[in-house]
Amino acid sequence: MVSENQHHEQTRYDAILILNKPRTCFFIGNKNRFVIVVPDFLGIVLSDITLVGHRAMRAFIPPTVLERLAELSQSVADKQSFGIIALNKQAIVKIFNETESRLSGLSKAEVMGRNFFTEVAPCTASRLFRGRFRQGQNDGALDEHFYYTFTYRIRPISAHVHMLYNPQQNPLLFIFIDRIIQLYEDLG
Amino acid sequence: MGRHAESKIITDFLAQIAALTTHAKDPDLRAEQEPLRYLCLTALWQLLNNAFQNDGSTPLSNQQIHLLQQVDIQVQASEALTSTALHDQVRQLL
Repeated sequence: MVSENQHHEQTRYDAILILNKPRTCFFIGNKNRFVIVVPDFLGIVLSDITLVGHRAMRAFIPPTVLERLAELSQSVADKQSFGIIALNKQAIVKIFNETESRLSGLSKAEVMGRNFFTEVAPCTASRLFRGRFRQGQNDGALDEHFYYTFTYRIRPISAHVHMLYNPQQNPLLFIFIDRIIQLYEDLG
Repeated sequence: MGRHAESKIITDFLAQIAALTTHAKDPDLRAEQEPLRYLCLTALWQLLNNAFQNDGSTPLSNQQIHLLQQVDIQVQASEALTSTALHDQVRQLL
């Protein structure tokens, strides 16, 4: 059992923000999500702020889900507030939860039993997304986090993707998707 | 090379590919060009998407998204003029 504190320790931070003119900006929010307010009257321009990397890639799956992968069924997945897709070895969709259905605009009937990479989401047939899936199949295990921006015939959306494959617990490969709002785009 | 220059090369390329297809006077030649255009554009989209998504350490920029969408508009136009059998074959290939 992982405690709440241990769960927080899994949080990954990869954002480095450099203020070229310190004490001229305000931050509103908390350590995970914040906005930068740059008052006009101070004569600050966006080029005074340099963003290296991006905002935190934060673990979003509760330990209760991660530790009970064997029990992660369609009904359990439907209760989660983030997207869950489970694929078998042939990349056929076996679980597609309610949240993912609502946010993607795809009904369960449209995707269940279909090949995820060729029939459901061709924009994921990429080196990064499908490549990780294949790597997991080859290695017999996978626990990877990455950002993916979905652009293919939908309103573009970026997401933190956590791909998890632990055949000792569950023969399915799980794709957990947490959509993100890009707060600062092209600041420089 | 700057990002704007890179975008211009791609948009010029898209215009050139469209011209090579739609400006063909011979209907048989046009019919042969369209599947090639579809293959070419789909591969270009995949090529750009792979490069932009890279290792997944950052989401795509607005400019990268815009460029992918520009290519996809052309893919969709070509898709309307080609067979679903070809689309399936290309998906399997890529």
